[in-house]
Amino acid sequence: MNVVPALPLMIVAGGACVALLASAGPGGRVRRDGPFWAGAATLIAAAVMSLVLWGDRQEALGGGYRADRFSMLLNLVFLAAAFCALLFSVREPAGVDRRGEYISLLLTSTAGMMLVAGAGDLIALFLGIEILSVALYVLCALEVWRERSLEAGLKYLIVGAVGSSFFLYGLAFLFGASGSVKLSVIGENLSVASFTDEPLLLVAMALIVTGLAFKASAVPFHMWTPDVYEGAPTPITAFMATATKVAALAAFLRIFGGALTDLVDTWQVAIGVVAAASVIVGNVGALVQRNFKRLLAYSSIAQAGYLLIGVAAGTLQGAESVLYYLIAYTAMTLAAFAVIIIREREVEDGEMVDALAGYGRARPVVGVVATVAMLSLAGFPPLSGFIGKFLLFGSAAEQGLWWLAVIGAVGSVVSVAYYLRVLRVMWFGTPAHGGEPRKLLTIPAPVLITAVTAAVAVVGFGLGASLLMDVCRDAAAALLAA
Amino acid sequence: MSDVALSGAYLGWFVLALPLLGAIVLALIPGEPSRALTRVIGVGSVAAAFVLVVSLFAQQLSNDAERRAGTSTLWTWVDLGSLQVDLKILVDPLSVLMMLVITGVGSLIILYSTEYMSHDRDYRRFFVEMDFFIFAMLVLVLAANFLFLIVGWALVGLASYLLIGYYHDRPSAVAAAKKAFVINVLGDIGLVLAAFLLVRQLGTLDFAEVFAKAPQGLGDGTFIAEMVALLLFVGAAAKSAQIPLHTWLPDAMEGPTPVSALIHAATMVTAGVYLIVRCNVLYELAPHMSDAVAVVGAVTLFVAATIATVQDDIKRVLAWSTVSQIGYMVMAAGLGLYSSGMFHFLTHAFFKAALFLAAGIVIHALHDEQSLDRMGGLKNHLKVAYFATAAGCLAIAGIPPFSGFFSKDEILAGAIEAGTLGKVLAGVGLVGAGLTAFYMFRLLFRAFHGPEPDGGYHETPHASGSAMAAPVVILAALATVGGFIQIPFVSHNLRDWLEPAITADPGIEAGHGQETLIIVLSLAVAAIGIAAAWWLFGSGPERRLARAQKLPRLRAFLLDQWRFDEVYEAAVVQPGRDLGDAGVRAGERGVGQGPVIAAEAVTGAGARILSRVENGLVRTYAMAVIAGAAIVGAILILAR
Repeated sequence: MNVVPALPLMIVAGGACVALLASAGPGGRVRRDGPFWAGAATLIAAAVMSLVLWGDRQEALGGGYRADRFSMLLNLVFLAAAFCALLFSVREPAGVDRRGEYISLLLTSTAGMMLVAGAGDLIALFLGIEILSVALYVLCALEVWRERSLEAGLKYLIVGAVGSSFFLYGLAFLFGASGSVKLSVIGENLSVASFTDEPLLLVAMALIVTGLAFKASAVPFHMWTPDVYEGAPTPITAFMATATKVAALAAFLRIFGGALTDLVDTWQVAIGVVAAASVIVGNVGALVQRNFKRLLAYSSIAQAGYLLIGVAAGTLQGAESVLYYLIAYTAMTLAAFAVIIIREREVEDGEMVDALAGYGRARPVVGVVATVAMLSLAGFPPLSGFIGKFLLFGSAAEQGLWWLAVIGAVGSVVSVAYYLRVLRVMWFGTPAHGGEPRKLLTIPAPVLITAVTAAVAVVGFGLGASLLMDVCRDAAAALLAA
Repeated sequence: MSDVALSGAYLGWFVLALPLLGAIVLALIPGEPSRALTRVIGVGSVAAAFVLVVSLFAQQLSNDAERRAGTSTLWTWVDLGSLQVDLKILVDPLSVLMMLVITGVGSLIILYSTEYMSHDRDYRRFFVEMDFFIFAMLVLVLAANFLFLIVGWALVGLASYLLIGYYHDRPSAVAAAKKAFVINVLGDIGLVLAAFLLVRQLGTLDFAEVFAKAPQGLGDGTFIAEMVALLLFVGAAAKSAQIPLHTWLPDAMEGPTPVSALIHAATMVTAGVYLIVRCNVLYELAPHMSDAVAVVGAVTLFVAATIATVQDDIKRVLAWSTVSQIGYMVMAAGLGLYSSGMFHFLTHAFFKAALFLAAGIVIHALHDEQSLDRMGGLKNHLKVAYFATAAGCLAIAGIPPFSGFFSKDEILAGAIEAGTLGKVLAGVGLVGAGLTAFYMFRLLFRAFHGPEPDGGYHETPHASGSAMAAPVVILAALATVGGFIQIPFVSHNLRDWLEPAITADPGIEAGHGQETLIIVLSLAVAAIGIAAAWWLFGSGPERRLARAQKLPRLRAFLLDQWRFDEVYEAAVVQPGRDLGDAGVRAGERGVGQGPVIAAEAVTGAGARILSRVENGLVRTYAMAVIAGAAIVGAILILAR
């Protein structure tokens, strides 16, 4: 059995064990710093391994895992997001108090995501989704001394179980309808016979859309998002908002863009409606939020909608746009959360938008990072968020899905109002307690470096879009490769 | 890097880089830089860009007409396989004309600001934002494809937002900035959708390729061609403050006066005209939409001129006058008189900038007093401002040999040749010209003639220093003689110059008879306007106040600016607010202050309703998942 293609996955899974063991290891230093360094080394090793494996498809675990350009590109995204979350967690209460579990669970969740992106059959796909979710349920609740954190974990667990069961049902029906669990065989079987009207298949699709849309926090399966994002430790929220969404979209692309691509006419409208609803509800919901984390939660619902517009297009160009936007979205969302993480440690109400009043003037570097992140999320040219949206809506328009392109564009206009509000408070707001924003602490270097790197990436992905798009095109092509 | 004809096209990148660099360097200097250094960087970077543009211009002049355009590519920006978009600039006669005005008038106005803003605490920020605006505007005119154009388009909107809201401790300034930004973003959406249509139909966004393929790919007068022209015009109308998207411009006067002069008179607001002229090929393919553009321009020029006649704030008179004058340009572009539109853009940049800066001298001298009621007799105190305003008034009223005479008459004479619609619109333009002469001389007489208010100023208005006076004098001089580049019967230098960029020019040319007719008529209406202004306002406030009572209802209607804001308020904002209030009453209290803009009001109400559903109960959430699955299933079955 060839295990080499699955090595990145195994490295991360192994690293999770090492990190856990290190926290119980001998010597105070190992116990204190061991988990962090084990985690960092694991992520870097896995990233290097993913780069080495970049190329045509290789299968492992009896076809259950595929290492192709698609999964390797997404591996890099997951690993980068996890690495950022790791750096954000330096001096984070939960990350200090229970560093072994914290880092181990983070790595476990990452491994689950990598399994989703590289899944070759339905079983691996479900396993991946569950591994990533279960680890996250615990991570959300890891600040056990904080009620909101516990509440977030519990809510996520209960509603998540509903979502997962729907997803599992869907996979079972898909197996029943197509006679195979292997994604490649499902595609073949369905393309031979006309399955368009098969009720079994329709039920399968509805349930799978439900399960995955839940993970991507798309409407109407989004309701847990604001509560959980608000309650979870912020570095974990950042990780969920980026990596989980990437994993869910990867699964969408694997199933609908890959295996079920011939049935695009059947599922296009359904996914399009989910996308449109997400854009509308997410953007409208964000308008009245005063809590920055909740605002970003609603914004992430809208962003899921934009991404699903690309899925609904059902073309290679659509998949390529989704991949591009996923990468850009990860960078800009991480930059945005970095600002909350920095402010949260300084003042008690740091996650409120108003806590940022005048903060841009007091800390210009953080202010610029936030500005880049907000403008890019709003789709402001020439940042990568703009290019991504242009590609996504353009791929929908290309397929004649004008209604989706228009809803996406109008949604972006509405979103300008709340992203701009954050910036206005930040640069022009007057702090409630007089001239200077209260309490400025030294920002831990890892957090600041991550924030600046993310912002630079947002700009760089925008100006050098064609380079990234070449990579994304290769990755998207791997979806359909025989 | 450069691929065709004009070998110096790559210099365009340096023109772009200089103001951007200026803004970045200025922003990054740690601590509070000295004012002298701020001035040098702020003005110097734009002036250096101007020198570069002049060298480009000289190179173009020395080339034959065919070799005056060139492109320069940095790298491939977006590559979708089927669609490739480069980071590419186009240096041609049209973009160089725009660049000359942007950097030339721009550096004069920024020089002026060094003194005008000298009392401001936030000196540096002003110059950072001004330089950034110049950069954005240059991107807009240099872009060689629609995607890059959209970048410039949006950045200009952002710069304008920052500068309108410059005095961010004034709520009215913040509200005005937001209004301007929202309307501008609305326009951006128009452009983006137009770009989608072009990609779908033609597979490219490059100007040269789009214009080459459009006649086949879009067809002449087809629905798609009209649609593209309509969507582009949404963008143009938003940026150029054309009815019904004009309401932001008068409010934008909340910004400092140099900002009004540069952004909301000379450059940004003419971007819409530039876009239509640049896309002349697409508009020639869309005859109905072109007519609609011309009609919108004519309606705008008339409505705005009537409103300008009753404004009492000196800057708002000029703001409405700007809306009206851009109306002339848009009307010209819609009628196919592209080069005439650009001619008027050029002369308008001179005389309107001179007028705004002269108004700035007045405002500065009177310690931020903007009401005409508290002005009068200023000609004895502020000589420079008086002569500049007089030159500007004569130019905008179309009195020969001042520049506005040539450009406005060219539009009106051309319009007569452009079919029945053109004749009607020329009539509207003539009426507008009379109104223009009236409201401008009303301003001149009320501010500079007559007795001083309340029997004299408390403090004698102090004349400005040379940094403010010099730009005003130069611009006033240009407003006086700028029209001579194109003289009816004699020369059409500008038209010949722009020919390579306006490939679809329908070649409308006024005959000598029409030309003479228009000259006579427009001089007559201008004279009537000036005479009426003198009769009402030449002597002092007594007669004015007596006359003003004559038509109270019309006056009130005009003072309410044709009640556009009220209609928007009643149709969009208020229902939204009611809905929002109902939502608040229903449960969620204290969710934000009254929404400022329409979109926000409507959506805000929905938001509150949504927040109610989100009551934090897990069973509700699980129920929603189940309901959602049922909905998705239903759609799958129905959409089969």
